[in-house]
Amino acid sequence: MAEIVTLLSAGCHPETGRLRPAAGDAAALALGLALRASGHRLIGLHAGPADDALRVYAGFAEFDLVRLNLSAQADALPVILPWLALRRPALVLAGPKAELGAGTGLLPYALAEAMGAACIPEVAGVEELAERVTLVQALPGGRRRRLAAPAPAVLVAAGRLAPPSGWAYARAQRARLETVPATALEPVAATAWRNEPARPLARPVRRIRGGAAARMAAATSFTAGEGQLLVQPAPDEAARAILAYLEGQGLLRS
Amino acid sequence: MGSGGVVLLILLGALGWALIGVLGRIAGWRAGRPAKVDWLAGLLALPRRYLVNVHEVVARDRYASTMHVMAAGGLVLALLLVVLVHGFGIASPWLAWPLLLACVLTLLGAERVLRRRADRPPRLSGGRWNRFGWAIGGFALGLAWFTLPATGVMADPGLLHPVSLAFAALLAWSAFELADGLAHGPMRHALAGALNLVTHPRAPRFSADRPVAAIHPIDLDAPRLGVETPQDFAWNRLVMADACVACGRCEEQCPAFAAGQPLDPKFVIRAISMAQGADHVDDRHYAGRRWPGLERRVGEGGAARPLVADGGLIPPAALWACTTCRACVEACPMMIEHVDAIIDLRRFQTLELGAVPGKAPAALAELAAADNIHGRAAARRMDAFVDLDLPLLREVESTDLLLWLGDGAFDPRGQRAMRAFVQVARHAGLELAVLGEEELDTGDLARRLGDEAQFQRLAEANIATLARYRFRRIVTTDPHVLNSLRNDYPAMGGHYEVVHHTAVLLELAEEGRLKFQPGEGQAALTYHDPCYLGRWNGEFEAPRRLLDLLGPGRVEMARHGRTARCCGGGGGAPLTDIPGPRRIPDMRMADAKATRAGTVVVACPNCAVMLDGVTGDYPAVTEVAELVLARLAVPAERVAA
Repeated sequence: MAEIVTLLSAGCHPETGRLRPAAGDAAALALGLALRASGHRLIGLHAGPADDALRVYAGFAEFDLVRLNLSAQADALPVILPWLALRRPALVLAGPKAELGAGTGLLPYALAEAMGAACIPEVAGVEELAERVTLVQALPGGRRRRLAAPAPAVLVAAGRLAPPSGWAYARAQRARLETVPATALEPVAATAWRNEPARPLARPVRRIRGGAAARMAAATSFTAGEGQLLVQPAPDEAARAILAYLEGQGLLRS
Repeated sequence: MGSGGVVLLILLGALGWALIGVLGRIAGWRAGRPAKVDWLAGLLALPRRYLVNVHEVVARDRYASTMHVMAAGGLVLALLLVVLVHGFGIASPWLAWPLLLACVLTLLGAERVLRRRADRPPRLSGGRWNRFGWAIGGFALGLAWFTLPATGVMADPGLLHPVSLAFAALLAWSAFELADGLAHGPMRHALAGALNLVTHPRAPRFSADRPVAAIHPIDLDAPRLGVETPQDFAWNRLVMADACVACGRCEEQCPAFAAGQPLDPKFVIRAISMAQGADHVDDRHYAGRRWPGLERRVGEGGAARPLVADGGLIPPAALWACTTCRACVEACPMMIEHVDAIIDLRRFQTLELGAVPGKAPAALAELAAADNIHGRAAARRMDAFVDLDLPLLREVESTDLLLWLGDGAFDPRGQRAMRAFVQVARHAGLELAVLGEEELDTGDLARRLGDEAQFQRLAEANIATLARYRFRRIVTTDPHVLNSLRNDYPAMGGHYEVVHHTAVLLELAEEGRLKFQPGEGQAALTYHDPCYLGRWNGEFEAPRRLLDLLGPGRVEMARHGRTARCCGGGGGAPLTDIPGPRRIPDMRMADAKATRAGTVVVACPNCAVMLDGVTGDYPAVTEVAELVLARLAVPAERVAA
């Protein structure tokens, strides 16, 4: 059976800033655990300075955990690459973005490029893994499409995917983590970066001319969307309308 | 050989048979985990615990209590006298007549047993329990026949007389039925029940004031956390499960059972009892009511097999439907602690398997990263109270009364009650201070969901915070916080005087620092006891006295005080959200409506949310503090904010 590596980064609670499993990486882990259930081997890989960041993931299931010992500022890519080259996994799973540090979501793409593998984002499920990997990709509007890619491939979990169920304290406490020493280059660009808190973008305001009455009318009236209003339609008519909508959204193949 | 000799023979045979069975059962108990038991104190306390505590519960059902006094009292008396009359062969009428009377008393008791069985209420188990009355009656009848010659009423007809032979057969069957039952049947409740009273893990519950019910902490470094198989229970908890008399009073009281959720507290205890006695057993022979909604389910288990599993003796949903309201414990005449067993089982599910259902895992994850289940920053706890300028303990360093906000501070319903309390307290000239962002969740919910690790982490953190300040008492509007700080924290090293805000309000009113004016055209009130204030902490009176000071017209629901029905909000049940055909809060509001009261008064933020959420034509829901504020004899706007 094939080997799968899931990349696990240190998560950060948005309100308190405390360590937790990163939501995106937990989603990737959920994909990995589903594959493990069908017999593949799963390794969780973390590149960072502390075991704690990895241990929080250990509560989800019993699987192999490896930490590449690295400072928090160091660039993970040049350390992960040679480790992956040695193991030659059939799949690398990652979350869409990190919750801490300079993680921009670029890592899986950079990895895939360096490995000469495909990078597929928004993965909602993996159906089969052999010579090729068959997967389901999430598209906007609830649509899904089935894709196939040659293994090895780098898959990025869909951001909305649920984390694995069943986090257990005892598993996290008793997990044995393997630590691999790593020598890393400090990123040259680091000194040039400046951190500042994110600002929400101002929402564009729609200006309404014509005084208070017009503003009141604009605030209280509803503009009809593209939809079609059917009041107590006959079942046939309703079914036709639903079919027409689904077809218009490209959710039905006729 | 006289016909009396056969009695001795049968009794000795039955005794031997019973001994073999009981020794096997004892071996099963000894397979449990060790427990510290004060044997001497337990033995000395046994008569009192039996005659006072057990009797108090049994006597709530007059029929059952009379039945038991006659059948059990007669049987014990008869067995004592039989040793003298037939054992030592003392054929004195001074002993024989009392023995005969004891037999008659037992017979009358057995008649009551059988009469109840004829139209068996569904809470009672059938099966072997249906034979129990016949066995007691047969035993008494047989014994009476062979005692008659000793009384001198008639001459000994000899054993070979056909009537004697028939009675000997009856006596043999009933003696062996009872003896076998001592290990494997109904009679076990007598043996294990007495032992349970001696080795009970919650000895304080028998004291006169029946205080506090703490949950026992566990060692988080143990190789297995919580209880997976019957053998993971402490041995005296295995004895406790065997004490069950299958009366189903717990079932009658259980709100989850009434809501049709798949929980039956009696079946939980019977399942533990069933499993501990065998390597492998299934519940097809179980003669009580089954898990609601899962009537056709067959569960399997054994002394070293998992109790809670999809195919196990206890379905996981049963475990998570429990609101930990303790109504079952309160109703149990055998002093069984159902909730403790459920918490122990939950601990394994949560800490070892991570098998918590519903929204509870998300809540526990937020609790881990934010110290409250909503995932809010610590400072947000004070958001609803900024305008009240509550002094922070960090700044004032000491206070008489520390207000513990609790989880209600994140919920509009809880905030309203808390604000009302602060306003009333200030009106009466009371100084309050809060911890503000230093206050963390007490860990109560985590503990009840089986997450002992988080409870211990939060308790240690809170205790360390409180150690830095001076205060005399902690007051809270939340009975769950009260119970946690008062009962669960001492084992972690935190000893505090904790009072509920209803007690503080009563103090103020009785000191004359609060003056009330009756509301206009006030409809009757009814008070809903929070489980964690009432059953868990025995505070039934203060809220009622406070309400009576507000004005006349308080009525009681049929189930109130010790038998009050839970609102459905305890034990994390709203998070695990086990489906059922009915909802617990709906049933409670129906209870309230039946009193024709216009208002249900609650004293807990969870009760307020649960009962306020019931839609339809029901009484209004008001928190005690809100009501007190509204009835203050000054216009509400003049009460200092």
